[in-house]
Amino acid sequence: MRNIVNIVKVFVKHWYRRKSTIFWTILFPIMLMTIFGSIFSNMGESKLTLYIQNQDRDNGEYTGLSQALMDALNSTDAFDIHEVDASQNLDEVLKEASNPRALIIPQGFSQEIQDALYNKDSPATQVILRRDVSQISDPAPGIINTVIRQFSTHLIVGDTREVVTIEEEAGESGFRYIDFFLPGVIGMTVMTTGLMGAVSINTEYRINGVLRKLATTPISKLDWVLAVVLYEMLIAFLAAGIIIGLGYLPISIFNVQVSLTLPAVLLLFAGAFAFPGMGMILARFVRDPTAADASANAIAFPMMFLSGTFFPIEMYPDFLKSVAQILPLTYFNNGLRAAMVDNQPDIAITNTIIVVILAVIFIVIGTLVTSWREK
Amino acid sequence: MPAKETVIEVNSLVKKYGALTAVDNISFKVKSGEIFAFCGPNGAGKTTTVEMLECLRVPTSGSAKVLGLDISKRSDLSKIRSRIGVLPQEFNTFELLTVRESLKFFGGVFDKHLDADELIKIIDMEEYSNILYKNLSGGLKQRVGVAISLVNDPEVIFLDEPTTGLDPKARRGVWEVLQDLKKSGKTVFLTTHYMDEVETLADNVAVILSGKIVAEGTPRRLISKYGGHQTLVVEGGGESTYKVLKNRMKDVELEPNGDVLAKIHSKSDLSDAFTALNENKVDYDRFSVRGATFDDVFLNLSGKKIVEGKLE
Repeated sequence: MRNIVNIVKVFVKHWYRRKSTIFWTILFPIMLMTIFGSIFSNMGESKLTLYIQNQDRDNGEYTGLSQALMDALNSTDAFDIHEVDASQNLDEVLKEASNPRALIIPQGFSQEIQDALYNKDSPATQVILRRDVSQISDPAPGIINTVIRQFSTHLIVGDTREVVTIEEEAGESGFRYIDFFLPGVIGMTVMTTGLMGAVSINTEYRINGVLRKLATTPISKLDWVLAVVLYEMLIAFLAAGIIIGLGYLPISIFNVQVSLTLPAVLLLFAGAFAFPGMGMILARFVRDPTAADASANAIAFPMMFLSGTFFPIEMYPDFLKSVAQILPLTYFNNGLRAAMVDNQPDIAITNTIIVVILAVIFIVIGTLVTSWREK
Repeated sequence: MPAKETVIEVNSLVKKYGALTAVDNISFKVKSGEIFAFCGPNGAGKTTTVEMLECLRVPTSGSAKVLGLDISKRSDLSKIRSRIGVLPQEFNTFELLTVRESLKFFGGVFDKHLDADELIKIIDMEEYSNILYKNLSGGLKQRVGVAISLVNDPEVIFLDEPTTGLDPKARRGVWEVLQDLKKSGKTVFLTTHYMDEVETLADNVAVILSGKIVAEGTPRRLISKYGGHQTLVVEGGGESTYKVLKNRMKDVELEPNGDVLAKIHSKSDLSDAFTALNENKVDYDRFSVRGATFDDVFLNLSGKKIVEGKLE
């Protein structure tokens, strides 16, 4: 145990003394999240979807003022407006929507405004904006606000009174790509740092002769394997922590508050053991350093794309679906998603168990095949 | 002084890799407190032998004892490892640790270990103790390697080609460290393909060629046995000297620069030569007797020279 801790300490020293590794562990996930977050946080919305339920009718027709507000919103060209009939249940409609955002113009809207115009003391008329409030970057409330303020100003010239205000309501949260993507980025980062890190540490120290020296000391093969795995686990945790932390930043475009449930933490541990374990096995069979990096890439990249990191596996053609079935990252991603975002503990636990078993298998094989002293 | 005990005893040791016999039935003994050189070209079986003694490779047959412990006995392996020091060939340690950090790391691996600063003093590198390993020159790196091999205060130290690739000054630096080790009573087992290293450092030497030991003994004994003859060099002697000596001695040569070289076959050859030169009042600049070196030993044993480890 003392040897393992000492070796891990040496690795950590190398980590912070080698500036490039700091860059890759910390900045790479940030870059990735920023890029994907900006691209996908409003994916599919070239115009902002806005459902409008106008309940203010007169003889079946929209009242003049409510129609005028709808026209004003439409004229901004920012919204893709879907009218929802007053008879329809708005909640049902929003449940199906990918961007659940709705403006409700209440009955009596027109009448209240007219009252307000003649009586300075009457309260402002309210329209209701129901939306996914977790989407902090949502530009819709700002635009709607501006439109309504102008609408008020047009009605009462020379007065700064607001006759119409917005009441925001928290509505359904919609499916956002970033929700899907964030656990994927964590999975991908834990996999790549673990797999590639273990391969490169092993080849580096085998080639430069440090392993040969260590083999002459009481340090055992198991000490070495566990030290590499533990160190890679620390690095993976650091990277995962940064990604999760980014999700919590209120200013960020990728506001996703993942839940660090017990299965999620267990799963992170299991994954952080499994992938370096895979790396130890790979490092045994590919000795040449260039070939080792290339083969680590050749395994990591397809696995990244085929394990549902970027796109749901359901979208894959059938033969790729079966490939995904045999990739460890699939179980890691599915588990993380279930535990961190979807809140499905059953699925999370099943996948955690699978990854734990894989981790044990990989580390046992990795230790057995690592050559320490020659025959 | 107590009689020197045997610390390494090798009997009929064989190591085969498939059809290739890397080490072919070798036997030798190393006595306590000596520097024992294991000398031969690349691929002769030096490293294979030393790695068997370090318990890194398993012999195909034969036996060897290090400090009285059997290298083929599983229960002895960890005991051997804790009492020997090893500098592997092409040694490297963690490149982003300082000299002191590296020594502390390797010290921490052993229950009983020497203090890092004490080791830095032994290799005379006090001013480099906080320098990162990767920023050291080749000679200093090797000295760090020697220090690391000493962390557990071993009784026997195995150094596999400790000066290969170093410039002459750096090699002398390593030699000084090794001579100090010997003075402190350590037994040093050294593999090398440098003949001058053997002559300078070794108390005893075994020459290995194609897996077989072809000669063994003190360097001086091997030189007198295999080095060939000493040579009388008469500088500036010219044609006249050549003629006079040719009548008295067997192998005489006249060099283009006027020097005359005469092989000394027996102790009387030298006095005969001077008598003849005096009687004939031959004029020459100066004379010298050139001794055989370990290079000659190797040349005579193998028929070839070693240049940077390769037979030529």
